[in-house]
Amino acid sequence: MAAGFKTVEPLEYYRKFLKQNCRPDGRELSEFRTTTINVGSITTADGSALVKLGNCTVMCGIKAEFTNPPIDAPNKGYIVPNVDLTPLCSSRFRPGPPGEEAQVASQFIADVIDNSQIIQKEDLCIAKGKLAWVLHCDLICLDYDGNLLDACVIALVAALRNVRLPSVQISEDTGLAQVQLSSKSPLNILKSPVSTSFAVFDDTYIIVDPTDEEETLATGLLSIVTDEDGKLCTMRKPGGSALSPERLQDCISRAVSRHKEVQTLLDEVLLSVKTQ
Amino acid sequence: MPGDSRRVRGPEESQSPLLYAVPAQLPVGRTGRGAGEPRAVFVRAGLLSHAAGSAYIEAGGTKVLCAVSGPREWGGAGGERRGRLLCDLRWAPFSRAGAWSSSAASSRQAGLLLQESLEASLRLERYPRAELAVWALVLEDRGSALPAAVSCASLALADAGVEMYDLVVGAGLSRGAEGEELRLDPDDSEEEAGATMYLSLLPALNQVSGLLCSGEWEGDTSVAAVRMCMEGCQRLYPVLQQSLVKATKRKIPAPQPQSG
Amino acid sequence: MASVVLSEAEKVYILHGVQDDLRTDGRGCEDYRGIEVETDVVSNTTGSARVKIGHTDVLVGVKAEMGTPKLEHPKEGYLEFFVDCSANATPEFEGRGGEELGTEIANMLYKIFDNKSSMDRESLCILPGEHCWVLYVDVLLLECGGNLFDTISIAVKSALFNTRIPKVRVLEDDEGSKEIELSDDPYDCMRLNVEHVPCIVTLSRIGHRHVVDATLQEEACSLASLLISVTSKGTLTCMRKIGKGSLDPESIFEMIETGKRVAKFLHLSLQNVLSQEESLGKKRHKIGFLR
Repeated sequence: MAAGFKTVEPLEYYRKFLKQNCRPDGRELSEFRTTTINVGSITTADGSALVKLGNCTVMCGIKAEFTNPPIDAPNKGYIVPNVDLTPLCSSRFRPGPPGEEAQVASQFIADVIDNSQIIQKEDLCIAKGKLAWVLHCDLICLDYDGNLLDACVIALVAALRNVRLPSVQISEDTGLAQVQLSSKSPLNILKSPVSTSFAVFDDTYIIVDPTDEEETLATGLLSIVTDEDGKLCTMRKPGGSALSPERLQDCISRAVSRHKEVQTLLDEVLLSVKTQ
Repeated sequence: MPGDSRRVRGPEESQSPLLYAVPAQLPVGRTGRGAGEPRAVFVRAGLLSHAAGSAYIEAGGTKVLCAVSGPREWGGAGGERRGRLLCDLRWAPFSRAGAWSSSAASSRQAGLLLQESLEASLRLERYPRAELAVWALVLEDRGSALPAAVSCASLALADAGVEMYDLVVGAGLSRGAEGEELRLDPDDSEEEAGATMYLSLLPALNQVSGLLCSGEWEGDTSVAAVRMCMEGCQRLYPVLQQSLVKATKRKIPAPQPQSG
Repeated sequence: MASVVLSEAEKVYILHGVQDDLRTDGRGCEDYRGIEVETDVVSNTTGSARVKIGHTDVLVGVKAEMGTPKLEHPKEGYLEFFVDCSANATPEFEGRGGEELGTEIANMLYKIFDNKSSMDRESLCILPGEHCWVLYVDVLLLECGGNLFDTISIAVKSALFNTRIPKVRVLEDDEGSKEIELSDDPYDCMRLNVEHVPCIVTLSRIGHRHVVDATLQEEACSLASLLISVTSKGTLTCMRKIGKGSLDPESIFEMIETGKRVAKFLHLSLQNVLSQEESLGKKRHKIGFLR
């Protein structure tokens, strides 16, 4: 019976739950799905992380390579994020060049990197004007079930904290780089931003961590990225229902508390990797 | 060159730091396992929430994930009564030990091999004018990625409930440049040296659905290699079957005894 | 790939014939059709050949150009393959239709040359790490009448046999700077050793037997074929199963045996024909395309 009702009137079905302050999957309105983080499982990458929010799965692999520093900033390196949404994760995506949603997600991640100052791009420079690191951060969605952005940001931060770069010396005789694979050091991570996404239902109910189904039914979406000092890094609200300042403030407070949860989990996971 | 506005811009060119590294001494010959011994595998079917069928295989360091979508309607060309199978096999940009390769290099050739290997096992005539799509992604390539992808894709098709004659199991093999020893399930360093072979088998029917080898094979070495690959396939077969049974049990729970 | 549509009755007819070792054109299962080979057909290439087997018609041109050796093999030259499926060959190749087949064949050619013995690539090196010969092998399909792979491999071998690369010398002066000098005499040429260049033999499974050199009609009756590339010494350099069907392991072993036996004979006769043609020298009556 319930299944039939859900198919015919999905919105009405959801409203019935939301009135009782809960969701069809048993969560409360401000409850996240179980978050799982796995770090360093890809040994071919210099840093990697697999993040799951319920079913939503994102893998981030980072490969570091040499390149020439940009001409306008000879003392900086590059960090290039790319979000890939393939037909593997959901049948709504087609093969080929990145679609709209993938482009938006890539740009969002790039904004988060720039605004939050996760790492200083100066740290990626090896020899001024000559040699710099480029960090190719590829985020591949393996299973698409809503709230892609939160999963991507966690995966990115976890993978960046997992990166170990070999030490490089510039030989004075030849001017060529000499790479020592035996001595590796982590990146200097200054901030770890965490994104918290909300969905608005009927201009009234606000829920966190929407699933794919909830995202399609929602009337508005909102993503807030904060850092450990509780400062806002990026906020994204692509149209939809209007929100009063008070309600937005509530969302920000939830984002700040979510940051603490994720931060604790991340520290735990990274520590367990180190002690192994 | 016009910039690609669909991606975040990076530098035009970059080089792997490994090119400038002091080359480490590669260990000669394999250690820890025998020549005919495959690496330990982990197999799981039915793990993705949205795909019709899915599977994941980890063999040594090689990790492959595969999803199946369909059958969905496809226009159908001319008088073709059979369904069609679409295969896409990609390597994640960070999956190889060497250089980063941009935008998930999809290997057309590997996709074609995957398709040929799988097609023999499917009853495509039962899906007239429909399309089945297989999406395989190599997350980490530590050798023998193609055979792993074939086994994984076949398992995902079975998990999707597609009608088929048998599972397809893949096996890889390599032979060192000088040593005559054949090595089953080579890792990436072993794959680089000398000759390689890939074979896929329908184990219950004892039919070879895919075969590709390159390098030099003198005398009867090729026959010995085919036999060794087939043994490797037979060893992996029960593992795939078990994971398929497990996935089916998860999907359809055993009927509860009626009370009263 | 180019294909014909056969009725069930036609298929049964071919199948029964093959069962009794008698094919529709009178051949046995291991017989090739007549093969026509002519080299030196395109004057502005370094080497060229045209090969016809039945209705399959292939033109191959080799161009030698100077390039820089690949990073991983500084002491070797290399070969580049390009296959053009002309729309003349079959209407299916119109537009971009032939591209996929073209890349597939080119990939196959890379595979069969991807070993040390097929070709002495070190002889193509001029100055290690700096200059080498790059052989651009261009294959043009003029007509498809079945058995493309074999025809192409024979044509490639003949064209490489016909290839004459001008001799160059590396001069080094006192300061160590190097200069490349081309020989003045246009007949002062280097030839390639094609003795170990492999040929592809395609064995098509029809019923319970396999045939070599299948026609288009026979290809339509076959669900699976095995491509085997074999050198004159009988070394396998590549093997690949193509087609939708599957093969019995025992039949694969049989096919490998047959392939090697047939290839040995093929290499022998090809070598004879090529040296015979060459011994005629300038007196040779060129046939070309006017026939």
